Amino acid sequence: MPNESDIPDVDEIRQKIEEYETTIMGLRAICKVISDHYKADNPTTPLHISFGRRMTTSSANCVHPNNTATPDAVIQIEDDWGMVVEAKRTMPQNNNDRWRDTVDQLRKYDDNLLGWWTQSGELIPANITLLIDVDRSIDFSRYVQSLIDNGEISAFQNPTSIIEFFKKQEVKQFLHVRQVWGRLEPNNLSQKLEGGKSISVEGLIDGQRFYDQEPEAVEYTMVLLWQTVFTERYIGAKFDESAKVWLIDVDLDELTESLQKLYGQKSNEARERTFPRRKWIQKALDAFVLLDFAFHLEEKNKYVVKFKRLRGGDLFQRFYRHRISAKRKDAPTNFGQLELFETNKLDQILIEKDEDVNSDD
Amino acid sequence: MARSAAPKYDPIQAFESWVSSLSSPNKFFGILPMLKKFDDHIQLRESIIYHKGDFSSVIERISRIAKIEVHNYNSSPWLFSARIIGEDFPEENEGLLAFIPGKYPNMYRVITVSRSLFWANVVRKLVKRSYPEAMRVFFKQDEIHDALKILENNTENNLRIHILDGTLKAKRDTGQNRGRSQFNTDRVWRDQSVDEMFEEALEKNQWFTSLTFAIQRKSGKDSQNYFTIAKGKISKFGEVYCDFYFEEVEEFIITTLEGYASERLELYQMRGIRERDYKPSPPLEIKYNIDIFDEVEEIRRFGRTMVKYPDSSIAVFHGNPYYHANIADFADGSSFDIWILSPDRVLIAPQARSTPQALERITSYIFYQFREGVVKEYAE
Repeated sequence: MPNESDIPDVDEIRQKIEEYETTIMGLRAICKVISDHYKADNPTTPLHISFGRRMTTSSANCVHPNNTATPDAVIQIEDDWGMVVEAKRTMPQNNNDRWRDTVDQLRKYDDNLLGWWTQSGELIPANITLLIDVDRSIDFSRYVQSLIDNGEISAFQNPTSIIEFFKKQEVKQFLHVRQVWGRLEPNNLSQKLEGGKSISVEGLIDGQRFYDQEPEAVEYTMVLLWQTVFTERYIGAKFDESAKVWLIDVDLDELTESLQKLYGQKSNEARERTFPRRKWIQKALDAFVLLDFAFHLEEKNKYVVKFKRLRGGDLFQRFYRHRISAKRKDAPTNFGQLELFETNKLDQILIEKDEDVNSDD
Repeated sequence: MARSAAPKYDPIQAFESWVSSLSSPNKFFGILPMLKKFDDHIQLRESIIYHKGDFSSVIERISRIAKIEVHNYNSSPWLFSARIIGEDFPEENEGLLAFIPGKYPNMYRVITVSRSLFWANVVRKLVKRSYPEAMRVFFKQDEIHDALKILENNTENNLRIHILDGTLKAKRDTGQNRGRSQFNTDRVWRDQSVDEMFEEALEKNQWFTSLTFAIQRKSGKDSQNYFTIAKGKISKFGEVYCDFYFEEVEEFIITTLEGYASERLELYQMRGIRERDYKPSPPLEIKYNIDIFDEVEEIRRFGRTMVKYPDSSIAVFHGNPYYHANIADFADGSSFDIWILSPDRVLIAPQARSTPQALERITSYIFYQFREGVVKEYAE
């Protein structure tokens, strides 16, 4: 009998998705605070923002000399101010000194990084920021300070700060950012962030749905694919009368590029990362295969999506069942077939129910 | 369409004769002064629709699905004879319909002079089924009120506009909702001024699905009595009928309502991320004049309403205390993110594909099934 107790429920999936989207909003909020700070006096101030830029470490880097570092965001104002941002929406407990990896990530950025949008590619000094969920911000700040105080690491050379972020419901939804440790340059920006800034979530709604980290819940990518890409492409697709599905031919590379343009980042510049990555999309398509909403062709990159009009219920409820299917597929029983049967039966009931609602008056 | 000669004035035949003699659909409005008052049950009926492209091909395709026989009349690309297939009352279910350009870009009218059976069984069916290529527009409560006031302000001094009857919807109390419709529907018969009728509806938090209005004339110079000289009907779903005073109804009611719809549809143009070269549009907002979402129950009610959105799939990212869902429209492949983050507005963020028709459909649905508001582009 397969053990399903380690499969998260759908609310946990939604929670992970919210954390992912909030992290993107946190990154955008920091960019907005900085942009507003510098553009208040001069709206035409040149601004560069990248979510996932390959920077080059120097030979003196204390973590990875002559290597690549990829902060979650790189922000530059004119040719003389810059910031690299690492975002951590979720942090595990600090068992076995697990937080040390994150500290080392920050130390890796504490360098004369190359890759800025300047003539030489350098920008000195650049600010370093860790954007962290409010639940861990104070503990993590104390941890970093204790490492410095105990001489386990040297003090940061570049201006470095920890900024907490969280959503809060007042009259409307805000995303609040506040500097809880360290310093930034210039001082007035640091002071502004120490006081905390609330950014309206409405103002952060944008097309960006991915950043340079894979979403923990594949259902997120599945929903974006199904709702916005497959629903658009099924119009005019071939209808399979016997299976009552529309058949959409999908090329993994083309689909990845499409999602990068719609919801991520795609650039031909060598330093820029592109996301979502191919393997994230492949994972989503494979989950559709488990749900019998797609099948994989022999040709490596090709899938056929079996599009149904999935009416009358929340898609997360449906898509998360691929986890049960995957679990049962691995188990030496016929539960996989049973699950498929139950899924198809439920789909049919929901479709019939919805067709009643939509019948012509 | 061949019809036997009638001994008296037959408005349907007169209309068919006039309209088929026109050299261009643009000259249609010129025949309105020539139409006399119609008898009971016969009305000039118009459905106001948004459309881009070739309506002939749309109607041909739809007729096959809707089991309605449609032919171009006199080889005209904008006149169609139509009849329902296999009905017992062929004469009631056949007629002529004209497809006429409206007064605003991409706005059209599907027009007949007919009895209600032909309209309901044939024309309305064709129009409804022609979505998304062509879509009937939605009239908001305040827009209908405005149009009736404009008509009233532009008629002679001895005329007045009264509301004779209406079908009204009202939100049911939360406690009454278990397993039932969220709404009560009432039919009311009155002979009341436009302002009184709309104020009463506002007080009771009701909205008209349709209403019958009358143009009434004073019996005598010093008389307080009025008698009805023309009647008309407005439906929220883009339909207007009338039996007389055709030019006035056209100019002050239909053109006004068409203008409001056109303005909204103009706002909905070029919203899809793909058609904007992957630069997302700012969200659209439906703004309410009260903080409706102060009550969490209203957010839940909104969520329940969206789950029932016809011909769509939904993924709910978050339900409470804020709302975030994605809706995909099966009719044309459009999709939207819907957000509630403030107490007084709903945000609609268009996704990869977002057509004006799909935006009109979803906003109309929210207006009708949840609450009417003002739609505009969101700005911080």
